[in-house]
Amino acid sequence: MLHLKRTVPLAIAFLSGILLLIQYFVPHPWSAKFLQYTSDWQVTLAYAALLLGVGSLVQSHVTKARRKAPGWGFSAVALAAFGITVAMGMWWSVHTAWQSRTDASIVTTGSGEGSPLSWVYNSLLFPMGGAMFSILGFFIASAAFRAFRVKSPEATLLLLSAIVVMLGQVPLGAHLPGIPQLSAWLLSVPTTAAKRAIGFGVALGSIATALRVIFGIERAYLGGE
Amino acid sequence: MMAILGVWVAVGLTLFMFSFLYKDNPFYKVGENLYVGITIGYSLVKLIFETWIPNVWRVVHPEAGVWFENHEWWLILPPLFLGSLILTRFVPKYAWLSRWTFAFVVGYGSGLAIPAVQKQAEATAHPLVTHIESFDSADKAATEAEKKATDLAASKGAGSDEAIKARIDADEYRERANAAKARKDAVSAAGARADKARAAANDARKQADEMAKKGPADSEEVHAAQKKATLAERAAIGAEMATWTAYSKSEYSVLTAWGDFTTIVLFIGVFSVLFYFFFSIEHKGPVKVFSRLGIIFLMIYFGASYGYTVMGRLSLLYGRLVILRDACYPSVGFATPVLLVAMITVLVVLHFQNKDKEENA
Amino acid sequence: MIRVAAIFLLTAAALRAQSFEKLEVLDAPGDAGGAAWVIWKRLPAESDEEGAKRITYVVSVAKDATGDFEEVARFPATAKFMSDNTEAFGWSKKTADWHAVKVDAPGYEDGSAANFPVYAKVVALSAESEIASGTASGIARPNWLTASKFNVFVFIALLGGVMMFLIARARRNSEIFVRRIPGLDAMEEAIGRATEMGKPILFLNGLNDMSSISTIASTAILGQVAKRVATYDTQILVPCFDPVVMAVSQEVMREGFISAGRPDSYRPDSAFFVTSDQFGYVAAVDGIMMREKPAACFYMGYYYAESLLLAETGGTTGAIQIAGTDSVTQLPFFIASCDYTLLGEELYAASAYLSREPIQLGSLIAQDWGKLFVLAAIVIGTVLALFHVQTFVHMVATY
Repeated sequence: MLHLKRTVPLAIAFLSGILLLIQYFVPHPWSAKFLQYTSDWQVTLAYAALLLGVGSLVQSHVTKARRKAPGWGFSAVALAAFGITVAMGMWWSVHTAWQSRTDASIVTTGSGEGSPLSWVYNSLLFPMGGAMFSILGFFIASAAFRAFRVKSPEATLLLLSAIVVMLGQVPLGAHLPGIPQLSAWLLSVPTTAAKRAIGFGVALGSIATALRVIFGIERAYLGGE
Repeated sequence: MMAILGVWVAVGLTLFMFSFLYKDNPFYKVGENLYVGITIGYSLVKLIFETWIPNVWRVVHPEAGVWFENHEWWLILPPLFLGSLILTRFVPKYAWLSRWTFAFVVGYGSGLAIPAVQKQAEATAHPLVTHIESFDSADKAATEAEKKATDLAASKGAGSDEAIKARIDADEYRERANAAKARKDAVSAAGARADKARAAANDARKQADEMAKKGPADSEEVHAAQKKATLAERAAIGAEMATWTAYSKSEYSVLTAWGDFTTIVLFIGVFSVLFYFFFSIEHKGPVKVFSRLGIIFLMIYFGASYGYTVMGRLSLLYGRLVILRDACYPSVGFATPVLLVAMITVLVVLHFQNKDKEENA
Repeated sequence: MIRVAAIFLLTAAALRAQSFEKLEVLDAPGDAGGAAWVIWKRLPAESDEEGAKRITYVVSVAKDATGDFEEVARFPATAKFMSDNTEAFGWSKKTADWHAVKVDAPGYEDGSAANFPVYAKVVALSAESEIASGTASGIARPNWLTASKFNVFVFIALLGGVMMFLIARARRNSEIFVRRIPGLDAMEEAIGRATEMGKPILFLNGLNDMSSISTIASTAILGQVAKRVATYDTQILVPCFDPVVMAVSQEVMREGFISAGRPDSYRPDSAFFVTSDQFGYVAAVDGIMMREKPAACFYMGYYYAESLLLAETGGTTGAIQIAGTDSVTQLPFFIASCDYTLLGEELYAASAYLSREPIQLGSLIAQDWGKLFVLAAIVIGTVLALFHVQTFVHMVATY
């Protein structure tokens, strides 16, 4: 049993890791095919996993709504939104599939153009996503303010460089002598240096971590017995 | 009618999400749960009808089985098998089987990551030793090499090995000079574009202001003109930013005289930051000084990159606010003010209700 | 004018008297098959630029010697040299004397693993004459190995070797020095504070899926955090962006609780799936932060534009915030809004650091050796580049 719970997954990780690594060094078409298939599998797997996610989500909201826990009404909103979206999508898919039925294949599109889901996307998801994203406009100011209150030399340096570069981006800054040049210099010299050094570290670190996974040294993701 | 409804829904949801800046409140909770519910439903529909049916059903179904003909139908089996192992998580007794799938996913990612980051590292390492060349110096080098090639061709004959080699070298130098010239031209072209965009924006703004002065201030035309002016202003800012980006990629006018200074700074920067990251060296003594230098570079980088993003984020916010402003007019039934007033009223009422409850408690 | 005309006539005459030397068809090395290089030595008439400009090459290929030759390339003699294609021919200066044109084997289908014969002819045209080469042939075949990636292989093998060596050494001698990482030391403190305040801890695994190295690292950290959470008997919330990450988080946490000796305190629903939509996830997590008011927020893994939306909301609730990401573009935002930030590779080092297991720490030291190698490479490369020696740069170039 322990073999099935431990050894088999470690062997799977080793095999898939080492094969994908070897694949990089092999230009033969079979190697490209192998990469193609395994990445297709990832897509199929991701969607199988979504079922797991939907299960987890529905379960937690249903429990909340059934127990009438505080705020259960909002869980009902989530469940209703989920249910209606799925129902609309299904109806449309079956509808289009029926319309486009042929001998050989069924064409179905859940969210294609003109479908209810594309309306949902444009009228609901898009404005909500846009609103959330745009809140960054407030936060980028508030975070800078909070960083400013920390009176350490590092924070000051960070802020000074932020101000110079910001001025370099706006029309006002173009009239201040030296600011655009300094801004461009900061962005291209010290910034590049720091970015590259972090990049090297990250590259080495991820190679090391990947090797640890492949050779079974890093096995936390498997959990316990 | 549908269009106006669409505007109301979009404005309402935008305000719901923004209300979170005040504090957690029922409007935000509705928006949040709506968002979560819809996105999951949306992905599920896509899963069933745009992935599963095309990929799985077409293979299982012999008539439609394109893959059967290619003798590759069995390729659907591994992901089906691994996918069903994920679903064992619903059965606690067999949930451990899902680890096989996790192991596959994690191993796959690791195997793929190694060459990918290696490539990325090389790409970042490379330019350190070939710093950006200014057009003037590249042109000078190319002209010299060309002269040498011509001289050699004259003295040793055009077909001689030395002359051919010299000409190949000269070509190489000229190519580099051309690249430097392209960078220089890109800066002036971007500058010209920015000037043009700025002038156009000023004109548009002026026109909009004049229209607003002359006629009724909230007519459709005035709004259209204002919107146009705003867009033009944004375009101008974008063009100005592009100029600086092009500039930073070409040469540094302040530093052209000591371009090597740039290389040295770059060198020290990379060195000290990498040094800062060493795990096995204690930050003491001279190491501390050097790693402090690394921190300075890091902080300048963080600040610069922060400052660089600010305008982009503000323009995002601006874009959203423009949408809210554009829904302030009678043509869409005053969507923004009506919804805003309604929401504020409800929030005020809720505030006092909660206060009462607290006091009673 | 007379001079130009004279040169023109000379070149024309020269071309007439010349013939092709060494036309060859070579299999394109290290490729998936179906491609070949047609190479030939530059004609003497190309020796000066004026001459080269006047010559146009036309390359045609066919399936067999008697078949129909189809034109596949037409270009002036000033272009397409072997030296332009270092991945196939290396960096030797000699290759600048040769022209090289990559051709597809006639009849080749993408993805085919078969061998294809290639017959090629080259014609050099000038304004008043043309000369044709003979026919050369070769075979385009798929290759199992590529020399151009050899340096990558060597580097990975070296790093792996050093790692194995250091791990073996760590097994014998468990005294390994690793410098302090304040962000990780603060984790313990943050968990303690959450316990005192009776408030939960929020742990995010980032927005990448389980195949990403960042996520693998962050779930490993979660395991260490869960151990401490179990010891202190604190509540932990792990909202997930990806269902597989959720499942792995559950496994990892369960193991953490078991190894802390409190398997019965473990609640599987403390790691839960939210949604795989970027801003939908942010909306939900921000909501959780406002409602639950966690005492500590840990942001580990890979983040995109949402980093600041999460960290600023967490900041306003007064939580101790510790971020760790290898997403270089998001580091500035975490730095500005969090109390501690693990920069780049510190994220990968975190679980080893927290676990204090010699084997894990040993592999960490391998990363230092890697950095030392990179530093040395930069120094050597830069010094050589100052003297215009490019050999080293060529050695480390990847394709």
